[in-house]
Amino acid sequence: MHENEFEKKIQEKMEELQFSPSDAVWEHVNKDINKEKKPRGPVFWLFFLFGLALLGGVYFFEVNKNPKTAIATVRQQKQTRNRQDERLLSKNKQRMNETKKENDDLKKSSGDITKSRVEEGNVKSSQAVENKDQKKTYVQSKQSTSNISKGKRIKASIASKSGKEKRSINGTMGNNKGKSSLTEKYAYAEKSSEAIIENNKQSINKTEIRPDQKNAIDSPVTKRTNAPPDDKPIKKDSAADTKTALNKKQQKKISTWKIGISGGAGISNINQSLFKSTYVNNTSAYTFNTAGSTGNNASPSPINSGASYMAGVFVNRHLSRRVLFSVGLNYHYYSTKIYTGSTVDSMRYVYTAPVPSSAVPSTPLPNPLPSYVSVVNTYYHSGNTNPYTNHYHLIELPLYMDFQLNKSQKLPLIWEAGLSFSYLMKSDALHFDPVTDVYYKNSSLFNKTQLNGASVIMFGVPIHKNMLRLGPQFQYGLTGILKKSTSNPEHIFYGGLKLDFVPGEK
Amino acid sequence: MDYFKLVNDCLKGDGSAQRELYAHFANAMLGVCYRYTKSLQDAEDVLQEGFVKVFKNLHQYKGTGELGAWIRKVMVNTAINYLKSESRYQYDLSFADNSLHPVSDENPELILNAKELADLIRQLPAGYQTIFNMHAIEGYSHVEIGKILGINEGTSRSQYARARALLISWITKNSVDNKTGKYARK
Repeated sequence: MHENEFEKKIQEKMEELQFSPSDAVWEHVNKDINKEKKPRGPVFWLFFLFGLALLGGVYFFEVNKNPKTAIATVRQQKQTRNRQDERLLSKNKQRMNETKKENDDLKKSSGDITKSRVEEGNVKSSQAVENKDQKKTYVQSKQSTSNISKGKRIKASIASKSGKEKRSINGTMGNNKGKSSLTEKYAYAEKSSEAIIENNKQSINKTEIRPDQKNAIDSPVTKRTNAPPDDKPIKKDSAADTKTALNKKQQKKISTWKIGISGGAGISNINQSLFKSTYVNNTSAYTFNTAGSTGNNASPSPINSGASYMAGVFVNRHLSRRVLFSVGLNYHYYSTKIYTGSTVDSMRYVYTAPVPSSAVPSTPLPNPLPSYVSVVNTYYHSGNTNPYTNHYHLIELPLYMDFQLNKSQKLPLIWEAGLSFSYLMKSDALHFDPVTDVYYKNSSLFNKTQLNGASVIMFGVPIHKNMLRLGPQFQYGLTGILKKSTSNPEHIFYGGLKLDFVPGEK
Repeated sequence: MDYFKLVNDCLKGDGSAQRELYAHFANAMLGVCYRYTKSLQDAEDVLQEGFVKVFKNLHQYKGTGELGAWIRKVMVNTAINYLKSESRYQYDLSFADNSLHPVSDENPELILNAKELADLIRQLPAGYQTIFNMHAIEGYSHVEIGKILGINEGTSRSQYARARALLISWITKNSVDNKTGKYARK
């Protein structure tokens, strides 16, 4: 009810209010309601295929990298199978013994039953208890024990004598006690077998869609109602409304660059490959190729993961409604942890590259020093008494493509993938010289420029008029951290939580 | 006009039926959108979004109710969502004042035409404008307004009373100006 007549007058007046909209409005409406669902852009598929190929390549590399490991794995599998066979064989033997025992009893009660038939009949009856799956395994186990004559008999009996056996036994045994007990046993076994198969069938049927579920699926999802859509349906549709690509406001949004800040924290490591860090013993920051040397061949410390964080700014721009391109500039700190012995502040030479087979490190070094030798002022003995943190300071230039995987504007799920070029500004990471058995610093051994592959899955959370995106990030150095190729290529790895903040993007 | 057939044709994807339905309601609906926004451009944006919603949700209209009322409700909801999403309307939509304000029983003479009256309504702060439109013209209760805008019922009442008083004062002033031949407002 209105307070007085004033509102009624206003209402009446407002009923008369009409304007002619511009033609562009209908054009946009018409295009929007009659447009077909666009397939995903080629850029998405390009990156998707690239990601798949990358993963496939890494997997292939991992599988084929170490044939010894592969052989060992096959051996292990064989051993496992052999053990299983042995277990089944012993089980069979046990059954055979039981069968023999029963046969002996039967012999006593029924003299006209031949030993072999009773044996086969009993074996058959015990076999019938097995369900179909067990039977398959059992037959396999028999194949492995084919050199045993009894086993051969069992196999033959399973293969051909199921119905015939029962009849044969019945006929042979006549009316004696043995017959009744054996027939009962056989019938029971067959029944059990059928019951098991029936149970399996039932369980399979249970997994099928029940009629009520089927009805629920078949029934229309939405119910036609006369009520106009109030807030709820409109809110639901508001996500769909974002499709209105031709809306001027949205076009404006899409075509503009937006600036944001980015940060993240997690752990970093130096990996031999994408998935190998802790399994490899020889994971020193720089390992000496001792193939031709006469050194100690000492083992370096394993590398443990350390803290890592990053911060930076980026700009992004929509290439389409759900595809975004972003470029940024980050500072990224990586660290790893190793163990060394005592520190010595003294000048000494170390071997920074593989020693030629002709060289003998213990002899006085020639002057000038060869390229594989350098002099350091501080070094660390090998050992595991002192923890040492390797620090890496890098500047990164990430180039990412963002793909919104869902349609929600409020809680977008975004997959970000791309490359980042980085420059190693500074590092105090230690290298290991197994010949002299010391750790030393030498920044010239590092590959200063790096190329990394990165992948992030993020959830967007609108906060007021801003967008906060948060999710796990993985970054892997496609190029090695060291300049010279070593037996263990080393790649920088980072895994952490990424956070993007874009002001004014809702 | 046979709305039932028109709706069915639209649902079948008949372009001419869609055009006909749009042409039939667009002018009146732009008037509705005009009242809720501050510019004709914004009103057209709302109209466009609203009609997209209308066509996409047309299956929800069964045909027994009044089609115009249904479309109008869609437009109002679209307009409110638009105001919520647009930053320039954000400030005015903050309803901090919860103090009660008595509603006057004044009933001034309305000699203004529809557009002049709509322009006066549009000169209200956006918060007042929205609540006034929803309550006085669309007939929403304060409880409903509170739920839709996410404010207290009391706030809605208070804001409405203030909007109404302000509007009456402007209408009265305009009436006096018109009678005396002066136009204080454009």
